[in-house]
Amino acid sequence: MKLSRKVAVDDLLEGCRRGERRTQEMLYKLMASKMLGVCMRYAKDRYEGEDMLQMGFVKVFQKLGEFRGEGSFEGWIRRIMVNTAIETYRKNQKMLNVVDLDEVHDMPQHTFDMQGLEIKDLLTLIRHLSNGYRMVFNLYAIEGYSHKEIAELLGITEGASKSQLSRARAILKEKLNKMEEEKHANYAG
Amino acid sequence: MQDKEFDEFFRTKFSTYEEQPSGAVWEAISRELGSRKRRSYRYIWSAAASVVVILAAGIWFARPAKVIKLRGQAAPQEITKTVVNQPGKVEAAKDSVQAGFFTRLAGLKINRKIHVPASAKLPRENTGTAAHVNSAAGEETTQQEVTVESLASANLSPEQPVKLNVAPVTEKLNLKEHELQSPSAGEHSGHVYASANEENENLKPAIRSVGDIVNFVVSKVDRRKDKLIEFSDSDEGSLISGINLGLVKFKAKTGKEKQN
Repeated sequence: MKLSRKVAVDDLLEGCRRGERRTQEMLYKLMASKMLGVCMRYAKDRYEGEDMLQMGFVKVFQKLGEFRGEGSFEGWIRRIMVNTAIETYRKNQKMLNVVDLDEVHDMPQHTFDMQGLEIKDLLTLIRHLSNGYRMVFNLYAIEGYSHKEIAELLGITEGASKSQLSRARAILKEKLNKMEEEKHANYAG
Repeated sequence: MQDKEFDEFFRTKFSTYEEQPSGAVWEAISRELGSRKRRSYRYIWSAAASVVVILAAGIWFARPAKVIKLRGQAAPQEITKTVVNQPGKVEAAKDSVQAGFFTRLAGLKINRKIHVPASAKLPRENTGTAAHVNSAAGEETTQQEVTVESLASANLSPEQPVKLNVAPVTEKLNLKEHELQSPSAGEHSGHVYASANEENENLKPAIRSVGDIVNFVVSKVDRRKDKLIEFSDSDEGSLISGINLGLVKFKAKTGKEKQN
């Protein structure tokens, strides 16, 4: 977290706790972009992403009293965002019961030239995953939760978490491959 | 590419990812925060109001108490006389106070557990009668004897600061100090509301109900003739017979029989 941003946040926390709307808006403006970045990884589109952001921030301001300054504030907000994403996911799961129909082929070990990839490409890749795989991949690969923790958070078994993670990776690699091929085709043409 | 590196790549790339939200998001947040706050305050106020109402209702409809008509007003006097006439008693003044205290104990109906923890707690069965400490309403005199005899047969503990040497068993009452469970008798007068002070105050001789307890407590604090709140016993139990808030006064004019 940039130092200037951190200092600004600390000043604002008191006012936010007191419920001052102006101060809350300032805090929101400081942190919102970063947090939307987090939410966008979990959401299937921008609309859902902003929805999660909104719900997350409401919770942040309601629970601000619980944050005692131990650990980074950004980390604290981030956890709330992730939990909001999980909540949304579990709600959707109850309604839809989606089964992932992606076929996974065994990929030959293949080095990808990933450096050329931009964030928006990665986002596209991730969005191709079904909800469950995307969730597990996000939680394990990017947030850094263990399979045990993921199992608890999502209400699945550890084994399910592991298998979903490897499938997620496989699908991502496959799509990456396709993406690369398309790029080469463009360059070549 | 190894799995670990694969994950690491995604993590690093996303670590700096930021996306500007549309303006509508803050508006929605602000709205939701505003409504939530007001709602929770409202709940607190209505909760507090209902608690006050319940308390007021509880005070108004004080738990009806069994009305006990006590006979044997003679008993207290007898005891006092007996005590005073004892020769060789060192702390006569103190003891008469204590006697009055024990008189109250004897005079009280034993099933009123709130009043008589001392005698209700009698652990031993000295005589056969001690077992019936909590018997139901019946002959009061018998009960009194029962109480007193069981008190009488309890052991004296030599450490007690104040000793009551009472005359040998009279027809009605025979009081001895019994093994109190607290070190000093004084402590008990806290439990038993009918303490020695009662004699000075000239209140009703016995406390039989919640209303009487309230009256007693109020009389300690409120020195006016018409107390802040006053209860009296009736056939229906304790009722408020008077309220005096300075500006607002109320006094029941019922010709109630005072219990003697």
